[in-house]
Amino acid sequence: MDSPIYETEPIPNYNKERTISSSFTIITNYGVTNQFSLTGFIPIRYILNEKVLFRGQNQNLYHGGKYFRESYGLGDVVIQARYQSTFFAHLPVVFGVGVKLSNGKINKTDEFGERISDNLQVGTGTVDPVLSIYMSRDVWQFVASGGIFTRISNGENIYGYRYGNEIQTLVNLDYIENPLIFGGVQFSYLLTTRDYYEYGKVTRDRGGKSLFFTGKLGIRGTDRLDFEITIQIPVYQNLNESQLTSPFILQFGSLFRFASS
Amino acid sequence: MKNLFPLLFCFFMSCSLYQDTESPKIYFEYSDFDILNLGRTISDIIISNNGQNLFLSDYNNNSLLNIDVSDQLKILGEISMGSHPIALDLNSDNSIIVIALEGESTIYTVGTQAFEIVNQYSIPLMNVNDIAFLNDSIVVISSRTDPACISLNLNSSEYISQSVLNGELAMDQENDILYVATSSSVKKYNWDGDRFAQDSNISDPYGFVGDVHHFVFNAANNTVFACISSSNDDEENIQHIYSFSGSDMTFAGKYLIKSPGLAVAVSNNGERVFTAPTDADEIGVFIIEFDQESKLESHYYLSAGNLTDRGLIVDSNNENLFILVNIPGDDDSFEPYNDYSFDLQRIKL
Repeated sequence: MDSPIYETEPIPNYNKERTISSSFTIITNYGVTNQFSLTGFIPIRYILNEKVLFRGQNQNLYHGGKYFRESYGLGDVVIQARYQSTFFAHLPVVFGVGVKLSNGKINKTDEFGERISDNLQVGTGTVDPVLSIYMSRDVWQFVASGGIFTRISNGENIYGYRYGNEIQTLVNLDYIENPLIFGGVQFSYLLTTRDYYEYGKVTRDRGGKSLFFTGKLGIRGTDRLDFEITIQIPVYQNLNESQLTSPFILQFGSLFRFASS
Repeated sequence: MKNLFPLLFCFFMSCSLYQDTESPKIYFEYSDFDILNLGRTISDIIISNNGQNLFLSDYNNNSLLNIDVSDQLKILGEISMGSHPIALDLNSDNSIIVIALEGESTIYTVGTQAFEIVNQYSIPLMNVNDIAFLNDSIVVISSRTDPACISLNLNSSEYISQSVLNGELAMDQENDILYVATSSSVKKYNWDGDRFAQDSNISDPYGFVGDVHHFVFNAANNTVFACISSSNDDEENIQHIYSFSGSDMTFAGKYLIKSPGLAVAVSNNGERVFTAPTDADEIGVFIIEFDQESKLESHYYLSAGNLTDRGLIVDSNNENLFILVNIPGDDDSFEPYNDYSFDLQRIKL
């Protein structure tokens, strides 16, 4: 992320701040019954923020210059139970209820031993409920699907920082008929609320609304293994004050199906 | 009952959990900066009374720049001169600029209309740091190393050594009063037509040995403003800009900016005081405007980079603020001695 915007307008990035956020996520799904399954999301994250400081902004680097903050490691694991049911005769709906754990570390420091800001830590420090609902329907040779995912903040972490709530709405149209390749498009709407510092001080530069368009292309390697690449582009963003944004997000994925006994 | 579940879920999703009920108090908004890229080390800045032209002394490139600020910022002209121009002043009708050089014992005068050198004068000072018009014929010149200031008659080229301590100069031309911010206090001198005599009123000492970054006189409220930092690194940072009453040199107020002031500018009516702090805020570098009467902040203006000594001026209509900014992210030049360069930023008030 190196493109700052103020609400909806691009603004100059005079201190050349950018954040590189990479995540390798292992998603495991175990079907207990045909209708009930358990899913775990295990992210391994790497976050690097760099910027050029102005004089006096950091007493450890008083005269300014390049300043790096880095964190890496296992992020917060999400565990979710999913239950599938069919409504209106032909509409499968998957309900998900779970928790985002607080296992990710939140005490990474910079080169001077000062704790870096919460937003650059791999974890959040709180156990938060996560809820989702997902439904799909065949439309000719396509599959239309949609869903809502939400994470609801469950208080402050031990440093007094409280993340805002988050809700994401997705609409997908996928083509899966071909035995070799599959693909699709997605529109997603992400709404996040502001975070809070200790004692309830409201944050600047956090939260907002974003609409993304995502293109997806995949190939079937074997009957059990798929590979997928997605590119997500922001279509509209209206963020609180100034925030760094990314012109695109690139994601590589693979899916392996274990044989059932 | 089963069909009710999605409806309840949707209702839950649309509730106030996703509304921001509070927002921080915001004093400014980001917008693109109005910048003229110069990439130079500017030592002083003056503006014409009509607010159309800025004149900048380029310390490293030994030149004087004429900037058109009436519409788009652009360089109208540049004159090369002697070694390290350090200070500028304009005469009363804005026809002549006087330029003091730090690197040689010479004073230049430049005509603003034709923008060319009119004359040059040899003086007995070295390491000159400031110059000011007393009237259209006489300038006062200060040096960092010589013990006393001199006056120079531009018509006769004669100079007189004055019993005036060196420091930053500020002139009350209407009343022929010279104020000097020295390293320890502010002094006041009265002109008798030939020589300066020290006034019986002097300010209280600062309480520390100071480096004076900028010193200005405002006629509307008969006050001088001094930006001072401590020369001793071990001492705690000076966090204010000081002002003194011109009449009796009593302390007229201090303006809290959390770090030493680098520059100050005052509106013509004396009500608005603009200050340039040394240190950046967490978000960026701000010009802080104070209300002169209450001595409290009234506005913040975001600058594009670090600020510098004397690098702040307001036009006579109080419509635009001009500042010199060093944008750290632009320090990508490998040219020798070119790692500390400034651009000109305009801020509409």
